[in-house]
Amino acid sequence: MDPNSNISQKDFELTERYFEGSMSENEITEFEDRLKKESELEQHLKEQRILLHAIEEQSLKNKLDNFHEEATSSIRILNPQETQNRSSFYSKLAIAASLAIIIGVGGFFLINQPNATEKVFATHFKPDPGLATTMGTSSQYDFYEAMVDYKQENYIKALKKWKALLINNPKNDTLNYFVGVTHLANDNENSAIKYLIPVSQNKTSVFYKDAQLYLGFAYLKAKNIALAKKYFTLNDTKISQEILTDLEN
Amino acid sequence: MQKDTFIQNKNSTQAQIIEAIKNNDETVLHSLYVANYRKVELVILKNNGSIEQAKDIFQEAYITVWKNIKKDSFIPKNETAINGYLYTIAKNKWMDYLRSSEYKKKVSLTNLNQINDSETNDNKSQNESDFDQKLAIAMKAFKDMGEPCKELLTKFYFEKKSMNEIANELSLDSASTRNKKYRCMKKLRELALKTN
Repeated sequence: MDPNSNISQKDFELTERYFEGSMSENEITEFEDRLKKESELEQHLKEQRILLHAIEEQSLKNKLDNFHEEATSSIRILNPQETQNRSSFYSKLAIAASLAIIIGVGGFFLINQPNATEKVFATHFKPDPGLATTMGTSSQYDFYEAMVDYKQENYIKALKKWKALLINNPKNDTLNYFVGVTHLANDNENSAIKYLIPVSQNKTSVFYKDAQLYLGFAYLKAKNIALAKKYFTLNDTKISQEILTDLEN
Repeated sequence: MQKDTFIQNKNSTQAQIIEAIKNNDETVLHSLYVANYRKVELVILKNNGSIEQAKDIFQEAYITVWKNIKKDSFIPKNETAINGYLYTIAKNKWMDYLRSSEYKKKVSLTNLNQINDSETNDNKSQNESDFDQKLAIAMKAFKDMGEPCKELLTKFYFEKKSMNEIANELSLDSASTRNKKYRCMKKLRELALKTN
């Protein structure tokens, strides 16, 4: 089989129509006569069959992993590795925030001149992205169900579920943290502050640093610049530093 | 061609379901997958399998069912029949694996010679094996193609869209689209049939 034997576009399109079944009786007879006489054409037909099969099957395979995502998208237990990955959210947030500065600041002059702190808040604030929700067992189902609500911006639902869990686990830093950031995302900065403060005082918590950052945001929203600055300074990450710089101006 | 969610629509005729699968209707293919995966996963996990293996076996079985419907070697009466068929094939594939020599290196079993070849490839003729081999090579070639050609050929041959539809999607005229198709197929042919 010579891969260099090129079929003309005309013949290619003829074979396409042959396969599709869109030829007339006469055309079919004529074509099949040619197939008997022209071995190259016949060869091409055989090859074409294989290629068409291949394209279809491979295309289907490509789709299956997408289907799989949906088939398995429910709740999974939090494993220890996931908590350590919080830092990667941080760096993504930092990149997003720095882009937002470039893109966002320009747009703001079009609206009716909000005051400076509102501007800084709006430029930099992005809700916490939440934790990964993948499949697994049922023991932390409620927590992750609320996480799904949170990611879908159903903040009231998420709050209700997490607060229910807090009743029996009032000191749990994960719950306090997420109730806090949800309140903030839901424009209730005063409640956010209430929940984030204990987390920001717990040095052993995975959410310790994040709580500082979001307290900064919460105080900024509440127009308490002094406390906002305090927390951004404590947090001392790239985002916080940029915000502090912005606040100086 | 309708794009109903066939799994819920009890009034779909047998012909409609088969037609949808032969046309690679995304909604139907999607429903078929999502409706059946968990059950297969469960039986494999309960029989010494892992999550990864469950996914692989299910996807293999799924493709087998799809092929058999396309070539009319399986003509399902309704969705329930397809679901049952898919489940059976997956379960058999898993059982075949458990009975295979590959698996047995890890576990010792008594009936070493009883290999059930219900859905395995042991009984294929030489011609069929040749075809399979060429198909595998062609599939790899397609998988490795550049995105523009891959996308174009997928639209034509998998999604089965018309020339005009595709021309619109690519903001081209029919003639250019036709030429592109010819050139992409030519490229695929060269990549796929090199080894022969």
